[in-house]
Amino acid sequence: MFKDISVIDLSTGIAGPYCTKILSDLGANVIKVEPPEGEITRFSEPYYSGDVDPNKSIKFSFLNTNKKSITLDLFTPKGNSLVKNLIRTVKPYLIVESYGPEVLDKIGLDFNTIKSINGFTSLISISNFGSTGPYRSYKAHEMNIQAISGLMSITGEPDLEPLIAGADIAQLNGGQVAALSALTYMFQAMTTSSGTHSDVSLMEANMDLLENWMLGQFQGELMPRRGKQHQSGFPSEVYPCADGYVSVNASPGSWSELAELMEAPDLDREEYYERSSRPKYRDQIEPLMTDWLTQNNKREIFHGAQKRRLAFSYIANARDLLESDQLTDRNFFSTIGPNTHPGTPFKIRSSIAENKEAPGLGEHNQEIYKDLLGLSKDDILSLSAEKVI
Amino acid sequence: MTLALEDIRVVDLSRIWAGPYGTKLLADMGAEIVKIEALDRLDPHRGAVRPQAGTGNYPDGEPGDDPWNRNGWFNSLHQNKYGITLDLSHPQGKDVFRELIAMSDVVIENFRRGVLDKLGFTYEELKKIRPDIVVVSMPAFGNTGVWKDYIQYGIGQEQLAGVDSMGGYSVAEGPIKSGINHGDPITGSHAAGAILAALMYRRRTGKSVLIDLSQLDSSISLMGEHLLDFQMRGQNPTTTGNQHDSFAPQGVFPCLGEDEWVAISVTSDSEWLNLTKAIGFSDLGEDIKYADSSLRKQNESELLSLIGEWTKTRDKFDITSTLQSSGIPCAPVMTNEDIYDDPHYQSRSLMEISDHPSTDIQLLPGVGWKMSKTTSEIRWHAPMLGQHNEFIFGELVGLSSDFIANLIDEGVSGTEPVGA
Repeated sequence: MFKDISVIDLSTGIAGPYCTKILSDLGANVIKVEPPEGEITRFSEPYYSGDVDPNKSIKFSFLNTNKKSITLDLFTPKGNSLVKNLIRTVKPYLIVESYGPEVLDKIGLDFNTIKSINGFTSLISISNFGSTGPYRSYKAHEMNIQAISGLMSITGEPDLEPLIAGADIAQLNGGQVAALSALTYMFQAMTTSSGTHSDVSLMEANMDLLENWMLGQFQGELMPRRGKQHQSGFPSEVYPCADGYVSVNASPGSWSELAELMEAPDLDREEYYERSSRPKYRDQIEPLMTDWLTQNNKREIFHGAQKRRLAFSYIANARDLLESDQLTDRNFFSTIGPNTHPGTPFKIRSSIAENKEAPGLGEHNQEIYKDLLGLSKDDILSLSAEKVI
Repeated sequence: MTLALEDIRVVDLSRIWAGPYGTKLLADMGAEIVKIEALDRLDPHRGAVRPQAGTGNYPDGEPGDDPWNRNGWFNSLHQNKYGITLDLSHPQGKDVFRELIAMSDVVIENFRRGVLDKLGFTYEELKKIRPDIVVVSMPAFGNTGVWKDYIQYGIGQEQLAGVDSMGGYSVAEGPIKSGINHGDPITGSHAAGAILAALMYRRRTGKSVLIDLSQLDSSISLMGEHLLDFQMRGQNPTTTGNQHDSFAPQGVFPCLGEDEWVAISVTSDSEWLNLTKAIGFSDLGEDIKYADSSLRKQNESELLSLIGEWTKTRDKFDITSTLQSSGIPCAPVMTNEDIYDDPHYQSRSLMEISDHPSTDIQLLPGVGWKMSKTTSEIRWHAPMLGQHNEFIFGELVGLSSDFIANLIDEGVSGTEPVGA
């Protein structure tokens, strides 16, 4: 349904490309404009076979499905006028960029210029800290964003250093927030004819997700790191089992059901029933639980617990996900080329006809430069020789 | 200034975090959210009606006379929303609910699977009332699949989604969950996106849409490259603690003060040279032992202790400004207190003030992005229980004051909770 919505994607890295992936997976026509040598994520390890190859980065393969790739050096005069020509011809609803504050302004690709070329185009600028404020020119990597947005201070063991959370959670969240702003503008663009500039900060996007936690200050307390414990109350934490790890939780089913699950009559004692006083008996309860847990496999534990209305979970790995009955049953995955990708987390009817793998570097140069912009073969050859494309 | 989404009306039956976060995102951009609670089943984030000492999340730890209006968990997720009370199991409540649906664009719920159906409001029934309605249903595992009746909350989803297989100090020490229940806000954010996409679809086709959202599916969106990696190279994701798997050194270092830390990442050779100069170890920069990333990786533990020696007598904010001025990615590990005091957050006016009759001034974070043309601000505080009953029932739905008074007499609506 988004097939007549075009997006020009100038972004690199993780957050920007993840934002435009959400749009391209919904069917939008995303034209990825890369520097002639390829954007930075093409050189992100690991590669799926052999040596450094801009078309074989696994991260890139995930982040760029259903997009077209053209090469173009925005920082050359010819490249600069070519991208303006592209904006004029494609009439995108959106341009997404992640060069950092003021970079596009300096080369005359600021929001006002874009507006003068095409009035309804919105610009989304994604940066680590936003385009204003004292930190605007700071550099950051995944860990630094997790640190400054508060997530690290509550992740890890209380007596050890704060810990980074798994996956590129901060950058992907930032891309997710940017995609929300994109959908908002696309929705608005259906009724208004004037574009908007959106300033997305990864630090703020992540803090927004944490805000519930932040309100701990109402009690005037610092939020603690809990390590393997998930929340106050017991048990609500990770324990090893025979083939991995499970998260144990004694609700909403009853304590007796937990004792029954763990085949441990000694656990079924009345003094353990009350949630608030149960932590006092940790030393008696824990050995009985771990005894059973370490003899059973994570999936059996999980299903057995769920049958007794106990909200356990287990620590899945990639294989567990790919083999999951639940995900297969829901048609969660998409097959793209030879591989299985996670599906869009929300599916709208008829969003996309056929999924396409991430594009090779400059794969669509001919289609865009020749067929769409009408450049001659010679023009394209000379632009290529001058390394503009 | 106009609001981006001011023409959208959402009937919001969602509770706790995931659903309310999704509708908060829409409310902040101007959508009209009508949150419905039952007097005997408040949003659990309002806390207990008569809370035990030390529980809940109240200003200064004081529950006060109306704790359900004072709980921070609730008040941070419901600004800019209308709040009404309505018993959907009562025939009159059902009638009023039907009238509301007829004039709304979206219904969102995150009950356990089947709860709304049992109340008589299946998707088919909702479509009869409003043929182009957008319905978002978001039980823990979605409405289909073999786990559809399993119980889970945001707290247990990142484990099942594989994210926690990458969390922890080391493989040997086992996985550690992130400090937040990420399954909730990520699903809420997807709900907001799905609603916008569905409304665009509806505008083009005139058709109704059912969105079946699963917290598990949402949480796996963070795992894409790792699923591919397993298929392409047969490798399951793992953890490298606070160190990065390709560049070095990266770590979290102790600073002056109790439990104060700074996160430093050296992602290139030039950043390494700059770091050695900035911390007064220029000779290290010339040492062949540390000349490139893979060499630094091999010798990372000794570099981490050297840097830690330098950081431990310094303030985390001073370190950050020193290293950032040398072009090195560095950030303080901020606590909740630090965030409220932070000049950058303040300058981008993230902390907006909202005066709430029952709690005085609250500081709340703003919206996750800044828009040039439309505003997104806190226009009013989270509703007191049933605060907007008269406005919604009277002015919006057009019920008579006698009818509304009768609803209250019958216990179908009101402003005082029932039960514990």
